[in-house]
Amino acid sequence: MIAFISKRIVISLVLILAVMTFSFVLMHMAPGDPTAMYIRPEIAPKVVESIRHQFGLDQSLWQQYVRWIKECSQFEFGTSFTHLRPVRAILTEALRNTLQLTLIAFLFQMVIGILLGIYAAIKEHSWQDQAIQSGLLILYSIPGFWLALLAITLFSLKLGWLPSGQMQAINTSGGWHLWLNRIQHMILPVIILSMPFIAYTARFMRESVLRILKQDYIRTAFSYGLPKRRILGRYVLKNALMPQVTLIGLYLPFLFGGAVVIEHIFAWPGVGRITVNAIFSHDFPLILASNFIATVTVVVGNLISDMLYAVVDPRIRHQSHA
Amino acid sequence: MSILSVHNLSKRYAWRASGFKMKYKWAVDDVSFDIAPREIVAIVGESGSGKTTLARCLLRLIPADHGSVLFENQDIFTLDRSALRQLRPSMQMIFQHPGRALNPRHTVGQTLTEALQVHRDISETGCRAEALRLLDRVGLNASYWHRHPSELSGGQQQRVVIARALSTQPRFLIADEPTSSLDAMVRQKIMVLLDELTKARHMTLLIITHDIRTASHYANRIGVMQQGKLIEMQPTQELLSAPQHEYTHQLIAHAFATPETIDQHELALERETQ
Amino acid sequence: MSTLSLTINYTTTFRDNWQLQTGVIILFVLIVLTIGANIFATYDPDAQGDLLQDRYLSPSTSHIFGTDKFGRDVFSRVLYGGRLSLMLAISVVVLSLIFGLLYGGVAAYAGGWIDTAMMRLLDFWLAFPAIFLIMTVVALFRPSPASLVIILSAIGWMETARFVRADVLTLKNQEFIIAAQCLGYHPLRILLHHLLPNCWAPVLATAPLKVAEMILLESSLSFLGIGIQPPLASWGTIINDGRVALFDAWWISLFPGVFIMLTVIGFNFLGEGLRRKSKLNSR
Repeated sequence: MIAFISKRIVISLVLILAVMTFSFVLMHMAPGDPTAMYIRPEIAPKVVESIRHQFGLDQSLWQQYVRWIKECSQFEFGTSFTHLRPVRAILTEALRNTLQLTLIAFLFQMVIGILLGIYAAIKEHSWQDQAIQSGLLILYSIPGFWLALLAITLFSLKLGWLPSGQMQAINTSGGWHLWLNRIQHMILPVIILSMPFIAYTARFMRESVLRILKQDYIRTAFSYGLPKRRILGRYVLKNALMPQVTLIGLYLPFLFGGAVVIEHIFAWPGVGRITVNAIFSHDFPLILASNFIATVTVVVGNLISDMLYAVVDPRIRHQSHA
Repeated sequence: MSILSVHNLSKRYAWRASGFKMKYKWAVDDVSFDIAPREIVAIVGESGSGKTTLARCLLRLIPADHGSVLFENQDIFTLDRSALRQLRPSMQMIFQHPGRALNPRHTVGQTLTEALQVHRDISETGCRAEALRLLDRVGLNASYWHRHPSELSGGQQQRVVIARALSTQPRFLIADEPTSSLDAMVRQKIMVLLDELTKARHMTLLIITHDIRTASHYANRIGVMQQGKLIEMQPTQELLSAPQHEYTHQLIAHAFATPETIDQHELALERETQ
Repeated sequence: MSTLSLTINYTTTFRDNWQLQTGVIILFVLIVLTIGANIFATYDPDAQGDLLQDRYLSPSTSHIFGTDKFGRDVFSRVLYGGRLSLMLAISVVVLSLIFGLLYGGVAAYAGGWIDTAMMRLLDFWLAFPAIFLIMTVVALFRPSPASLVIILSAIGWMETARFVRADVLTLKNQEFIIAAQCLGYHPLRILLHHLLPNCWAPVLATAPLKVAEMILLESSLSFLGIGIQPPLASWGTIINDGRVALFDAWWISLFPGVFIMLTVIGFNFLGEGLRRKSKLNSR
């Protein structure tokens, strides 16, 4: 088991390094000088030169790469070209905001998705099951960004019930007022972000419950006349939730990905919004750093899934890995 | 002068038992024998004795671990890929499960013409004519041309496999349990067809089988395999009358003494040979 | 299975399979509308109207989806934009399926260190955060529909490749492949004529679901401003155009979104229906 885990960890580290190297090269291949916005008639070329020096852009590509890798390994990512603040400070703040949004959305979709999935499975082939299934299919066919716009139009602009963006009102005082205000700001983004995931989770849950219901030991339990509620609670749910657990790691990167658009629309100051802005302003250190965060999320997500899977299903540990 | 000459051939299978420890099993263990041109040789053994692995090693369909195989004095293990491909047409194989040995998406016609087109420099119409001739030779008429394997019986599938093997004009043929997946009624017909074709086309035939009685009926010589080893190989009559090994003895005794498993066909055949 | 029994089987399952039916009908209408955009569109999609009289007109008989801030007819733009979005998504899926099929097939059939190396490369590619990759590349190298097709295909092939690899790995030990080797066929012939044709049916069945996914992805990118670039119309860019005037001119963003939703539902129903059909047939 230890051999398995350490091998997976080494592979993950190599992967992260490879992806970072590739994105670094990609970034420096791209046309467009990041200092282009400083090249204006009123700024002397000497100043531009000193700016370039300050950001280390006058060094060779190799030197820049080595320096950058060294910094990354200490979770230092240099200074943002546009914010003129350390990237680390910008991103810790943004990451906190993104995590707030994604984790709540994650929990929300898990609860709703699992409940819907179980209900549909128990009522297999009934009209409720059909309705849930079709509803879910429609749910993940709706473009989230579009729904967000409609929701803002309806609930914020027309009805004025909910705020249209940001994390909180500017002049909110602390205490429970702040929290209430924060929750109000979260309702729309959380619901819209979690919608496609509710569909995935419910669908997956429905199938695993159905698979377990068809197993011999469950049939035996029914034939012994054990109460249905007890069979479902004790045997079915426990076994159906197991595979769901292994998927947790795989959800994270997708939640992050989905959050990019949602943050952009709701002006939520998270990693996605910061990155989109950084891309438009060619802010290399910031782009590379958020790319790093995203890569780590993907790789660690996969790692967690693999390990949870190995814990749940001991056969994996013994399998030779090609 | 022998057409096939096998020296100390060994093949092992490895698997990871636990952690990093590897376990091995010798599927073919130090096997040596020769086959003369136009001879019909049978190798008999129980399932799991390594017969099929041996057959596949002989044609280098799977790599062997030790030893050498000389086909017409050419070591086939040292040939490079393209030279091996050049040599392949001369040595062909008939498979145990004819249904699995045919591409399920190709019709009989496509299967045969593909084999002809790849190796023989003939025109498309020539291919078709030749394929039909082959089909006729194995006892199937032109109406089978457009059928898929799933629309054929086991016996018909095996006939197509035989026709395909013949299409490359091989000199050496390995029949790996050619009848064991077929109905009893068809078995003998397929064996007779193989026997007849081998003689008519001056081919050499190696029959791999678990059935010593079929082997004894068609083969000039019989080899017995047990747990990967070729424990003895003798001309058929000598092997039947004076087996050297206890295991061979048991095989023979068992095969000829269980009338309930012998169908009428085979009984009749036996009477003929005695 | 003969051709006759195949068609009978097809029609009966088609009739029972309401998802397949709905999907086919929705897609048929949408494809006719968008392919025939020159016929059905009542205006030139890029023609700007009179800036005083034609801006932000609400839906009426002359402009059934209204007009945008340049006085352009939204209905016409939605049809032309749909043609672009659909063609883009379909080409992406075709490209990525072909590449995935070849990649997975070659890796599995070659085996050994080639397989290991190719799978490691795939893991690397998979570890790349897709949306960040697209955003970076598209924003840094001027996006055009063609470059968008390439970058979206580049992130869409891995799942197919894994799927095909697993299939080919089991297929390559089947006797008909060993027979093909025994016949001395070239490895490429074995791969293209014998292995891949026997595993592309399930891969092909995933195509509609992938098209749906790509339409959603492309429209979100275009909406963010890093996909299709204005003045080219695509569903995502039209929604973005309407964003500034949500309160007063909701129709600009509403209709293209409905079209995206219908298309995606159509492809998802089609994919789901195909899945159900193959399940029924395999029983």
